[in-house]
Amino acid sequence: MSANLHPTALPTLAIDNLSVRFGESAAVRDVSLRVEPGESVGVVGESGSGKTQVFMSAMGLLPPNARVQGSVRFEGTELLGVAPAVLNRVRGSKLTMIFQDPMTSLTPHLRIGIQLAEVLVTHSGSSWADAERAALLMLERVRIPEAKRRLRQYPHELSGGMRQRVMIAMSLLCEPSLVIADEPTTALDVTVQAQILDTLRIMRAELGMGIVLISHDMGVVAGLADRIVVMYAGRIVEQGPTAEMLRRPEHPYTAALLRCVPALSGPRLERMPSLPGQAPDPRRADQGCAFAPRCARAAERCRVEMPQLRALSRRHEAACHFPLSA
Amino acid sequence: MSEPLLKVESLRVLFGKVAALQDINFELRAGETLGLVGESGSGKSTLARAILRLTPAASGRVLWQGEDLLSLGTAELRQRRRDLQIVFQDPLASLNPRMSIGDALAEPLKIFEPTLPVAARKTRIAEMLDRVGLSADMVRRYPHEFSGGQCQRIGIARAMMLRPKLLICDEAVSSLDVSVQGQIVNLLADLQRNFGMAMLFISHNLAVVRHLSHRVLVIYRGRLVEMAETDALFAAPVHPYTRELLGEQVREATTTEQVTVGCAFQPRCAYAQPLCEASVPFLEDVATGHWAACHRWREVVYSSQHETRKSD
Amino acid sequence: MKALHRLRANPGATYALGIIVILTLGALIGPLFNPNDIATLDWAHVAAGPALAGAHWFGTDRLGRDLFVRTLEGTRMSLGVGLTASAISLGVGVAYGAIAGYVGGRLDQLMMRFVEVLSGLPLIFFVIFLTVVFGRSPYLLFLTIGAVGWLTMARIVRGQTLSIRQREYIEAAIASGAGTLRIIVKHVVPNLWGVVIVYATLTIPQIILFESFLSFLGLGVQEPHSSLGTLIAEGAGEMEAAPWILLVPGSVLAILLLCLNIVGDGLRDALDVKER
Repeated sequence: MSANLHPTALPTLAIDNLSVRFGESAAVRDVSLRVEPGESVGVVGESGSGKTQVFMSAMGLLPPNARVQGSVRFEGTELLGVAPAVLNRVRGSKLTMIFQDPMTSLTPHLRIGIQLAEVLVTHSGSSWADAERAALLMLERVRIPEAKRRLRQYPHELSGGMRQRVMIAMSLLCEPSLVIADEPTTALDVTVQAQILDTLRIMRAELGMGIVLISHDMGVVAGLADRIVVMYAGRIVEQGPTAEMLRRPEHPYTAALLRCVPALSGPRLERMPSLPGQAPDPRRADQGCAFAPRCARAAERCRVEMPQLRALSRRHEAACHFPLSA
Repeated sequence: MSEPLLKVESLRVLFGKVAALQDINFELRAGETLGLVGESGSGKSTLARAILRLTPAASGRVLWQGEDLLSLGTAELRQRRRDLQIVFQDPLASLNPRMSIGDALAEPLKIFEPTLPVAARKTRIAEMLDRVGLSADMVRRYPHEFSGGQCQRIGIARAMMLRPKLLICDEAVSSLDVSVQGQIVNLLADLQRNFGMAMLFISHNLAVVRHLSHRVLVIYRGRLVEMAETDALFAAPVHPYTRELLGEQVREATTTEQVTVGCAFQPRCAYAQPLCEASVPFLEDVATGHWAACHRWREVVYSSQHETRKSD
Repeated sequence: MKALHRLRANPGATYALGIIVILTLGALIGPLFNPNDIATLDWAHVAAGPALAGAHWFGTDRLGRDLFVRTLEGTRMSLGVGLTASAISLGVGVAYGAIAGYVGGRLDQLMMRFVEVLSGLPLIFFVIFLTVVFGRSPYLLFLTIGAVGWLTMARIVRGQTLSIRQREYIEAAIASGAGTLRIIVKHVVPNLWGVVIVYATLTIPQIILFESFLSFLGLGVQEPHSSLGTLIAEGAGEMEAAPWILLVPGSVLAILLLCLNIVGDGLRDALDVKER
């Protein structure tokens, strides 16, 4: 389902050589990424891989002690280092974000209806009455049961799944070009996760906006993304079309992540699959491949020489000296 | 067959006027892992806390090795605690940020074995750290210096210090990355193999529960709705809620209000009939070692067999 | 302690701390460098202005007493009051508040009612009453001020304890079999230090001011001893003729209070970052 209908159109999001540091820790190291109009990209990695910081820098939501280098362009406009006024025209309307924990991203003392309407009133200058009507329509579109009642309720009166639907609705009100969903289902029960992802899929089919879906779980991303980007220790280690990534991963880390999705059916395994060890210290300097200590295929070359992203087939690239197909 | 280590009878927990748990009955034997599955708000964490008397119960009994924990005095209860341990969901939050992990691990020993000499204590701590896959030179570090997975290992080490007979894991892997969940699950399985403790493993994630448990309990809105051996439950679930959990075709509740008459699952149930409103279903024998709380369980089983036959 | 490192990174707070240390050291060892003492009346230099070259560096007062040593003694007195009273309010307040907050229920109600009643009493009457009953002595002064200072500390500590009590590591400690005393001492109090130390540093200035005020009224330190407050009281009367008698102790007090406030702010920032 490639959505690149206008090959000459500007990419919705163009990230070039992005680096983010916090003091001694390098959270993001030289990341370059494109999201084309209408495309859905899954970004997968463990905690500490930098996947969230990449997009927080696009939204201008990094803490003040972050040192950022590189460029992030949204529909051609540079977002890094730009005045808040310029950023605010784009954030919340054309470029929106859904966060992991809906309880803390919704204001607890304001009714849902007001929080939704506020987005429209601020960005498109509509009246409160019109905005509330539009909010109601959007709630119904995201399949919230009893939408009219929800408008008058407070966040704590809704379940986690419903609050997340409200966040989805909020992010779509101004017809964004790109929605960034940062671990939207991680705080929810496994049973509700599937529904929320379904809703995102349906909304994308109806509205055609681009989506970036960030997660530590490959399974979550597989159903929704056209393309998957895998990050490890602040770098992109593999990216490619979803089907190909799932069938023929090239990087050992990707293959390991795929094995970690636990199964409900099939034989009960003796040991539950997992990755040994843990993610490297973000303060460590670059020396060789960051994944080497945990990699079953690591050789001397891996510890000394940093592998670069190389195209292994059309649109599929990996940063590994010994990719799995070799 | 040996006597059950833990026997919960008619446990009921109230939050104000709302029953967070009611009519909870089950047993747990030594060396057994019992999985407890339910969604957020089902009462599974409340059950863990009620068993350990971290939350007060309104009525019922929690028989631990024959004694009712709920009727013990404070001092006696504290004595029993050495055998009843818990690992919490949020690994970082369950560790005192101002206490080094060495002190955190030493605490259970100081409480229950105060005469243990310092050297012996240090050895025990080093041994336990090693067992959970951490190194002994980490004793002087503080919780915020560790990752989520490591903190959970520390939490498990602390719980295991006194070789408890029962370990309750309350969503112990839910806040960890998938790549790390397996490590912790395997660690728990290993510890059980080595120490033989009984485990109550609480989770909303069925796949993980399936891996670890001998038997599974399914809880919905404060009541047990199904109980069976793991293989039986996953191969042939009976209660409509369990079936939906396994097929992942959950219809989200249309209302968050409590259903006050009859079965609480009605708003989401494909099999709901007027008779379901008449009374709350209780756990019934549906096969050997398999119980379900559903008025229409026979129809459910029949229709599932019918489906299987159709797909053959 | 990481907090101290962070404090050092804050230039304002570091200088302020440095000034406090210098003043304290000066107050303690300064008199060794000056031959005068606080009671000697130098008739040759009555109400003389400051003269760094002469016998009296900061000048003298109306009775010919050297202002330099008197100011140093005053500083010693004020610092003594500030630190001792803070220590008392810290010790009593923390214990009281932590117990009330953690145990809760009827005990908490009772304990806090008691605090509220005491808070309602006007401080001044209380001090006067104690002074009348026990006579005047600097040590009694410290005790009195400390005895009232603990009330607010207890309230603050109780509030913090209530929120700490909800945390998961407290639940974990209970589940581990820890008793109430162990939990309060090992789990609650260590997590209070951030708030407590900051509050203590910020109340020292208040306490010093209060003592100065009492002395100004004649209830505190008595002749020939001095505190910054008594010196200021004296100086106020001589403002037109010999302004230095007011300016010297007044400046010292102002600098001391300013630096304590800055250090208090700095400590709060330094300790807060760790909480995050």
